[in-house]
Amino acid sequence: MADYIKLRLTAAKVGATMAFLGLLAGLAERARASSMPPPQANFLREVSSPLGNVNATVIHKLDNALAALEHKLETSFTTTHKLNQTFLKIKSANTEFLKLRSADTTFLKIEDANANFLKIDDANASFLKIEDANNTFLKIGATAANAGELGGLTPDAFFQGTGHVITGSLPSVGVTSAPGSQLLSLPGGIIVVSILNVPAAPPELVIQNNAGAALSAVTDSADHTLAANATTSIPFPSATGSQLHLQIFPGGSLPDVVTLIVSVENASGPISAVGQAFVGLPA
Amino acid sequence: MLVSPLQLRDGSPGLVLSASKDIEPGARAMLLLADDLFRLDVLIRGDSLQTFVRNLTSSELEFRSDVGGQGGGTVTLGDAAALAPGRADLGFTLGAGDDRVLVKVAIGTLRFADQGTIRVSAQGIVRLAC
Repeated sequence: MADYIKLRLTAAKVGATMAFLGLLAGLAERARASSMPPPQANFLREVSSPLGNVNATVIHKLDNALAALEHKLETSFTTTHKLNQTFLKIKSANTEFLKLRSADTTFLKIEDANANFLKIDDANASFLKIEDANNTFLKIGATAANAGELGGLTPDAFFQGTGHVITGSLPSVGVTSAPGSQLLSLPGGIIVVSILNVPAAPPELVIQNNAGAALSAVTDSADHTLAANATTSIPFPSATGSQLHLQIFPGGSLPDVVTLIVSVENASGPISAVGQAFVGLPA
Repeated sequence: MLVSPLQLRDGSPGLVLSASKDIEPGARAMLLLADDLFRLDVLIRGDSLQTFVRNLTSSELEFRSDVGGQGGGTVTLGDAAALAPGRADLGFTLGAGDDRVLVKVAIGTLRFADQGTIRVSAQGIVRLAC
């Protein structure tokens, strides 16, 4: 009988051990799938049912062990969750963020930019905007709208009245090359009169016709045609000093008759020249 | 002296006369002459220029007071100021009927102090007075 009881107790211990091992396996499975029911309730129902209160102490210890294990699992789970919430996985970082090495090869550092580039504020303080420059300054080679004005008047204003008298003088004219030294010019530069001192020959009166058309002219001795936009030379009658008297008739942009009276003196060496031009009628 | 026919701005016919003479102060000289119309003489008295118009027509000569009132510019270039350039304008009408003409004359003077002479130059334009 005693042997029988001992055998039963041994069998009961073996059964409890087997049950405990099975429980551990179930708990491991539960750790993988947190959605399963709490292991403690299953253990109490399945283990205590066949044994009653005989192994209550053992069950209680197992229960405590399971509770401790469950706490550790929960702590581990919570810790892992917190890590996931706090830290970024390397795989996600690689796809979402740029590596510093790649950034260094692709982007400019602020320090380098400061050394090589001008800040907008500094540029605004030091340089003029193109728009402001275009609105304020005249481009090189451009002609201002009022460039042709003198005292606020256009060249036409000086020809609206008639009866101009222009006087010019050259005290000393050395040997010159064409077109010579300018003696006088009509308003607007329509006619420009110069003196050409030619060695061993009478000096010449050089007339630049800027009227845009050929002009007829007459002197005391001959008729002349002043070619458009060109110079015409008329020699003085004498090499020792003389006077030229010339009438130029209207044509092109020259609206009035012009009388030129030019004299030269001391034809040997430097010469002096005096000229007067009468343009049109007195008012 | 040069005398040339001229077509004026409005297309009407005219005549341009021009001349230049160097004269001594106090001497009278003929400057312009338009046959059968007039003769213009000048006389330098001190710093004044006196003009004489001789009427060669049989009708009345009438001076115009408005000539030079809106006169053109007088421009002096280079060293010409040393010659004391002067300017005078003169206008008159003469003749009768359809032959009455208007004469306008611009006279310029230059003083050559070293020679003691005055250069008097002029351009006159004659046109119908109508």
